[in-house]
Amino acid sequence: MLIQVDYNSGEPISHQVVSQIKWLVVSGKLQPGEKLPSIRELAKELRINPTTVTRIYSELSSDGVITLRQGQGAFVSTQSVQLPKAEIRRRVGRLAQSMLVEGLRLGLKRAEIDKVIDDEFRRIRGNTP
Amino acid sequence: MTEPVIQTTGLTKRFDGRAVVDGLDLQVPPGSVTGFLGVNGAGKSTTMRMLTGHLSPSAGDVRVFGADPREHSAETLQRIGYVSDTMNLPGRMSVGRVMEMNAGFFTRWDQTLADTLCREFELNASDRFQKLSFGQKRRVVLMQALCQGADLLMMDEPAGGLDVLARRLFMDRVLDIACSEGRTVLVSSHLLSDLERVVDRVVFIHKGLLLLQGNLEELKTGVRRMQFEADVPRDALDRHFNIISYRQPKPDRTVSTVVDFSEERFDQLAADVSAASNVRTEQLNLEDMFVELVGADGPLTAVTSPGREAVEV
Repeated sequence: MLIQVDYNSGEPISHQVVSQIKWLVVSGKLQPGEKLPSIRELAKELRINPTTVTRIYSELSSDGVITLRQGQGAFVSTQSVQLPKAEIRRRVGRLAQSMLVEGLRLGLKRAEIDKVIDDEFRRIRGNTP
Repeated sequence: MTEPVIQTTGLTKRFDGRAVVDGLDLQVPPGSVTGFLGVNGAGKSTTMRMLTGHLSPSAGDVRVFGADPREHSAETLQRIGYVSDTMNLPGRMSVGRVMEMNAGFFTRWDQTLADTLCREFELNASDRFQKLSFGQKRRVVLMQALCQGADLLMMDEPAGGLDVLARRLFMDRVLDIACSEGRTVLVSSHLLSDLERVVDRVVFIHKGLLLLQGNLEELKTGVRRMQFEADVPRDALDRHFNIISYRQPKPDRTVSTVVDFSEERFDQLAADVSAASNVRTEQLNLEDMFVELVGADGPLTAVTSPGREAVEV
């Protein structure tokens, strides 16, 4: 897994890694059912404290991104999370809001923001719709 | 909750009537790597010396592995490694003899690791301690501490005098300890950027007082510096947050760092003081957090961290 950590950032290390693993899953670089490294393996690979990795896995698990199987380890979930559409809209809406505020504050136009989204979408999913 | 490896209650040390360590309630849970952070003279070394039984407290209680360190049995002492801020090995002793001596004392001495570390640290078994440079002496002392197989390793400024590469090697070895089941590390250091990835807990002390302790990831999540383009009174912030620091560089500007930021709390503040809604917030890394805590606008008293109970698993 290619994960980059900024050790000296104000953003908690676990948040950084959680969002990158989500990115790897959504972009298909990690496949459903694929096994993730053990807590110690990932701690050594990323050179971070194992308690932080425990935190990362439990957050990913409660978000439904991975499944923890007793004695076997962590696996990418094979089923997507079932949430009410309204709840999903609310969560994504909140993120969209802060993105829009930042974009508009820095002087981007509506069309430019749309383009940013299109570009990012292609980076994650290629040209599939 | 499992019993802490280190627990102090009201731990106090006075020298000539002056409290150098002042009522410390310190907890180090098993399996953690705890960073013990403070400026020079904050009371870190004095605390460590009480934790190892080298110094007696003036007041308060100290428990390490459930017992007073001054009364530890030989078996318990085997489980504790200590690196002091001074290095006092006999000058004529060679690195090889240092290893033999430790192998004799410590039943769990790891000679394979010692050989590896000697290679990594570029130490020769025949080198005499007195002939070594400051940085090389430091490496010998650390090699010794890392290989004793201690369940609790306490290190006072272990990385001082080490170059970047040696520090990197050393910190990775500390992580190896963290990855092995149930071993606990308490480490003080000025090199906060080195510690930041290695520790899971931090304890900040200043002028002998414990200001804040908790899980670093949890603290980073909650700690937030807010900059208002407005006069936001301290007592208004106090109603909604636990404040670390507060200052007004100009009459219409307020900068405050809090330990328990959340969107909900912030919305409540904005409803309370409408001027507060014009804000810029930023998350702080370990060094920035440290500066806010021990700087001139810092708290000078304990700050309650959010979810402290949840953290001390």
